[in-house]
Amino acid sequence: MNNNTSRRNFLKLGAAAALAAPFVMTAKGAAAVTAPGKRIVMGGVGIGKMGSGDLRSFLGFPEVQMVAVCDVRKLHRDNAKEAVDQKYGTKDCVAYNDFRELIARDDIDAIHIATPDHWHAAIAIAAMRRGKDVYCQKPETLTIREGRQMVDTARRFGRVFSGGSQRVYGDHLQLAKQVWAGELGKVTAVHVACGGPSWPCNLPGEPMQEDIDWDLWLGPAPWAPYNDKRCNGTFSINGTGWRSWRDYSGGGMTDWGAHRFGAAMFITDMRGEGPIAVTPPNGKDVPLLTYEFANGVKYYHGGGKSNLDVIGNPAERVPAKAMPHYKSSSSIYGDFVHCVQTRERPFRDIEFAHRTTTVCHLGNIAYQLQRPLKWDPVKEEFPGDDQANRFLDRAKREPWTI
Amino acid sequence: MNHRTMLRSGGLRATAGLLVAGGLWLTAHGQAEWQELLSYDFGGCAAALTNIEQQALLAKPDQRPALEAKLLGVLGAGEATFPAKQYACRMLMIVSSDQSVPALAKLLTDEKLSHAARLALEALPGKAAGAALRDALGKTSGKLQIGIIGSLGAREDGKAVAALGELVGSAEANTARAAIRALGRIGNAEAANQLATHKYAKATELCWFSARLACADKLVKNGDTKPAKAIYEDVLAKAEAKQMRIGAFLGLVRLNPGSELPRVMAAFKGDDPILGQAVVPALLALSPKAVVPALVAELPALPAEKKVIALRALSAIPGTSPLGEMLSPLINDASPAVQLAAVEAAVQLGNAQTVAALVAKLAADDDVGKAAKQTLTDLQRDGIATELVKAGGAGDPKLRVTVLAILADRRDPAVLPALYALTEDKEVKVRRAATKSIGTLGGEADVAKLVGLLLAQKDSGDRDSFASATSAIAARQPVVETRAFHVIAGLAKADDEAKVLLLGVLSALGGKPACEAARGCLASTTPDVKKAAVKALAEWPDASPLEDLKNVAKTDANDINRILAMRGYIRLLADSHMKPDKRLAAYKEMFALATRPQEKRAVFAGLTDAPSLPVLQFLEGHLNDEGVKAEALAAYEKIAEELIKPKAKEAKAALERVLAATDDKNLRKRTENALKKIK
Repeated sequence: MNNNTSRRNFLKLGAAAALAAPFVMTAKGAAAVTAPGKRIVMGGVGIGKMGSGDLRSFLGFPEVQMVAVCDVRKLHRDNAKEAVDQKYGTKDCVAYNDFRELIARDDIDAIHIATPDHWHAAIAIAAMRRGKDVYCQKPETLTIREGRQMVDTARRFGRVFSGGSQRVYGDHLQLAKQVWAGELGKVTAVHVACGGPSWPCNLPGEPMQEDIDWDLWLGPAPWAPYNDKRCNGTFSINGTGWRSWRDYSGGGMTDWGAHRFGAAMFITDMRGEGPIAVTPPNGKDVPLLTYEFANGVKYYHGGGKSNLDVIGNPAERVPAKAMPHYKSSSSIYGDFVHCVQTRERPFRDIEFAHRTTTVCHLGNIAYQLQRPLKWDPVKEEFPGDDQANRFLDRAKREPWTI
Repeated sequence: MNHRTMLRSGGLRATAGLLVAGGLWLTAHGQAEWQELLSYDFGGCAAALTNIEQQALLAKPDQRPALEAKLLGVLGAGEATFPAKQYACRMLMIVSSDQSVPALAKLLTDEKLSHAARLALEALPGKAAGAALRDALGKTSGKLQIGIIGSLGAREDGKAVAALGELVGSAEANTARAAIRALGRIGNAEAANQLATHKYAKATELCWFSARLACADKLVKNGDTKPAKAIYEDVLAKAEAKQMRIGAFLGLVRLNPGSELPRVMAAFKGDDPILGQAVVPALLALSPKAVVPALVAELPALPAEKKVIALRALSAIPGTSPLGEMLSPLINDASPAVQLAAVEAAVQLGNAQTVAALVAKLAADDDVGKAAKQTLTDLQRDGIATELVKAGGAGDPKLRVTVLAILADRRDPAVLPALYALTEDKEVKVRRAATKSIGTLGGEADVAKLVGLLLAQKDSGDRDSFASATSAIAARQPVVETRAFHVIAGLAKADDEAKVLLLGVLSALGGKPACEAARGCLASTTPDVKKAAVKALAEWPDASPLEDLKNVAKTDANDINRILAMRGYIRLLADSHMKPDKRLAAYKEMFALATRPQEKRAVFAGLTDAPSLPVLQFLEGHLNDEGVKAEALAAYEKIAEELIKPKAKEAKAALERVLAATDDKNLRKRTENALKKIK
């Protein structure tokens, strides 16, 4: 074999090596730990707007074999099955209504999840307990406590868990390079633009649609009657879809906040940290929701000139640092595929994703309670604040537990 | 009257009771809200719900009991609807105290409201809520019981473990699983014992192993390592599922990261594919002091696939010292996979000694080459930049150009002196690449230097590259009015060729002083300089030079200058803040001057941005102009469409005129659709 390390040549090498060794050299020089010569067998749960995009992305990887799709809407799962079958020229893809049937399959190595947010934790944790690796759309969590449960479960079983926020790395790359190179000096503040909190849903019941398994759509969320605007997958956060409602989403604060607060935390190299105080605007001396971190950096919700403004002090020089990237790939999907093969931690590891969504949730809680909050980023609780601590989690509707 | 009294009362009586008991806290407005809430159905009484929620969220501690009493009144009111009671429970999640527990406890057995009650009880700190949930375990079955089990697990209620233990062997598998999971979440020694001593069904085995691992993890967290170790070893020995074996293996490693090296190295070198999955996280969990020397010692003799794993693990261990010279042979390993892993790992494990090997890989047109470029861009250790400057200073010109681009991407201005030196290199490509990198890295002070180099240089290509670099740096300077200062100063000293280039720089920078300088060059007697001045003003970033361009368009003897000026003028008109009538007059003036179809078309295109009846009428006069008929019709149609609302009659007539005049299918379709809107 010559020195040309193209993807295809590596695949050939992988197949050859598979005959002799349990570790397989794969496309990117990874020592694969899936069965020799075997592709990553995947299933997708929640295949609507974002999910179908994720599905198409994973179908583009020769290392991946998609075998199953799941959605509580028949139209979505039928379309997804058709897309998979068309890709492989077979009729083999199995479409499920209930994710439990999909994750019970021993042949599936990994799943991608793009359900509404209130389902993420229950599905991801159940899948990891079944030994699956997980790629989960952002925002990965609906509450702070379930985020920690997701991290603990991933670590317990040695699972690869990538959050699905491609904009953390991709949207502000030039700015990230400048900050990591120390060009802006010591960072003092970041202004992050994203929408505001979700709000309670008070929609009347509508005639039930046959296409949807309503009880399963609601899942762990409180019971409510069917209404298209309650469950519509629109990206608009204006009262016309589930992203608007508190039972299912944190609103623009988590939807775009997962991207942009995530980018702020990446750019300022604070991906694994959390604030020590969150103060909502008070119309007086605090004009913007303000996060204060132990290192003195402040994040503000809004108030910048662009979607993400980093303010540094060039007089206070900081050394350049090696900036993290996706591993052996230019996309978040490729990063996940690589890490499933190598068992490395992905760029958007669930700990970082959880830390980001925690920042978003803290903002929502501060907006709701309209008072300054102290936060312990190690214990992940509001010290001595029983009322605020009630917002750390929500009881799940029976029979859903994690 | 206490809350128990209220719960016993009928709906109206309860409300009346509330009013009597709480006269001080119930305003007339508030009373209406609460009355409305009693009959709430999904989709109704939005204002009342919002107001009540705001009260709950903003209530100070001493205000919460009163609000809690009102909410309990709703729960106890006979006529209160299900949505009203569900809503009250949601609000109790925010303001409840132990006073709410009896009423909420009663709802735990209610098929419809059990979850709502748990929303409040699960979040409520204190013993009473836990006791109520435990008490409800024996009064419920099926889904409701599972929900209660889940809440006890979420509360990590240590007092519930015995009762939960009794459910481990439940004939109802889902109930058993919920109880097993809850014991895992509680995770104390007693919970671990309950899991170990109660018989479980085969159908719940995975869940059982999982919960035991969760218990062990929590025991470790709380410092109780002995029973945790026993659990890990037991699961490792008995479980068949890969994730359980991996979990137990990782648990043992994390339990004692200082002494588990032999176990991990055995898994690393062995051929168990399941434990193979755990090797990388296990290596990362070990004490770096132990694992790094062990891996480094083994590295040279490992088979290729294990070299890859070792390299990836070493690079992920924080604080690993650079491998230096040891990495170079791996970068040149016979296995391309090892090469790639070594090159990628070099971001963490490389140092100045590694640079030469990495630079050599830049020539490869494959993943290794790409990775080498990324690594050299990111690698941050002493001496890296020096080594890269050396590599950029000699050798294959193509490679040197790549290195110079990397130096720019590293964003380290300390290499600027070296880059300036390379602007005199004998290799053209290298000189230009060095200048381009200066353009990326340079600051305000470099503008004057580059202008000086441009003036001194005779090679046209080099001068061009200096001009580009100057533009790049100057454009990054935030103060528009001053950033062109050195360029303007250079213009005064420049020969004609340099003037042409500097005028191009000025047009990229904009600003009043730059505009004046460019305007001054319109008087040049050198044709090329004058043309460059016209071009610069025609490409100006704002509408400042409109008058200059108009004059050139009207008066210049040179056809090219007139055309350039006309095009620039038409372009800038769109960005001007002229009133519509003046703008139309300006367009008309240019149209009259235009001799070629190209400029006439540009006028038509510009006019469509400001639709009005006079514009429509102007276009109407040119629908049969030779060479521009199609564009005139298209613009005419577009304007007519925009006028459908304000001028329907005229728009309709215009659209019908278009239909009569064109055979173009797309235009006809657009026009017909527009006409339908009028009808």
